[in-house]
Amino acid sequence: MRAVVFACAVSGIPAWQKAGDCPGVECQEIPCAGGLDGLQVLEAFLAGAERVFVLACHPGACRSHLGTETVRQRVAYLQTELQAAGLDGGRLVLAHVSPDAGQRVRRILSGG
Amino acid sequence: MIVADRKPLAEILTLVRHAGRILLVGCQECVTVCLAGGEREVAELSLILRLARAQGRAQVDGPLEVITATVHRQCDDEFLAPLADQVANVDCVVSMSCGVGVQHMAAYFPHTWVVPALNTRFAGATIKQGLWEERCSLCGDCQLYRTGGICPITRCAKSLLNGPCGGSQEGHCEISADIPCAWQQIYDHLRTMGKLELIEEIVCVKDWSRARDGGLRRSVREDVS
Repeated sequence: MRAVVFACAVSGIPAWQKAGDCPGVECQEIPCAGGLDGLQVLEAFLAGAERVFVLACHPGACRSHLGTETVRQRVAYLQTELQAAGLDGGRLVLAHVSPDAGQRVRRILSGG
Repeated sequence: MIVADRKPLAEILTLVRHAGRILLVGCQECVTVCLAGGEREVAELSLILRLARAQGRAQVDGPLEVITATVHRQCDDEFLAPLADQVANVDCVVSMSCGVGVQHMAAYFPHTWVVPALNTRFAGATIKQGLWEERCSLCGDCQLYRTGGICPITRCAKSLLNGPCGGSQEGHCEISADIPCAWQQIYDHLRTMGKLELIEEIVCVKDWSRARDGGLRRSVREDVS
């Protein structure tokens, strides 16, 4: 497993589906990026993921209103903890995508 | 409730650096409410410690095994007793409880090294999600009946019993514009309640012997002891 993606059901999942085949990348759907479970992120790194991506709606486009802000704070917290544990916090990536942004998801996953 | 914060990860790693196997114990009372030492925080710290170990940051020889448990209360013997078998098989217990729980755990298992993973901060209340604020200084001689339920000992920077002082500026304390003047709050509340006469009563020197005086404080109920 090269990477794990946690994708918002509204934006991230449709974009992921349009991105096409991404070998070595496992995608998990979450109802809203604001509901990102930090334990699942840490478990993914423990299981050997090189990178973890969170695909969220663009700021202001969240159907749950606060999801994009909540996930921003949660990712920042987790990056700090990962850094303290000796990992590069940059291995956890938060990206904002629209539902039709398949190409963009491919670029994000390839580090572009 | 008692409010606590988790210690920085680097400090916790230092505390367990000589341990190969640890028991990480949470508490389902106050520290669960303030999101510092409940079941979820235990799981999170367990994962982070294991990740740190995988990165070579745990500063131990050999693997660091983390066993987890969360008890109803760490400050009562009856909830610690079931941990005995697990405690017997670890090098160190890491308590994610307040200082009371840590001490109780250390006393209950006198042959086990017990270290705290939290810093105990204050007796406080939930103001909003993710924000807790001090409300009680545990002075042992409650004066809230004079002040409409707003504690000047805790919430006034000078702990004045006859306030406000000259540093009260437009409802704020002179030490920071972000801190409301407790005596302004008391005045406003007493006025709303129609009890402003209470603020004119001069309070004599408080009996602090029930606070931090004379060493360890005890509370006794002879009818149940």
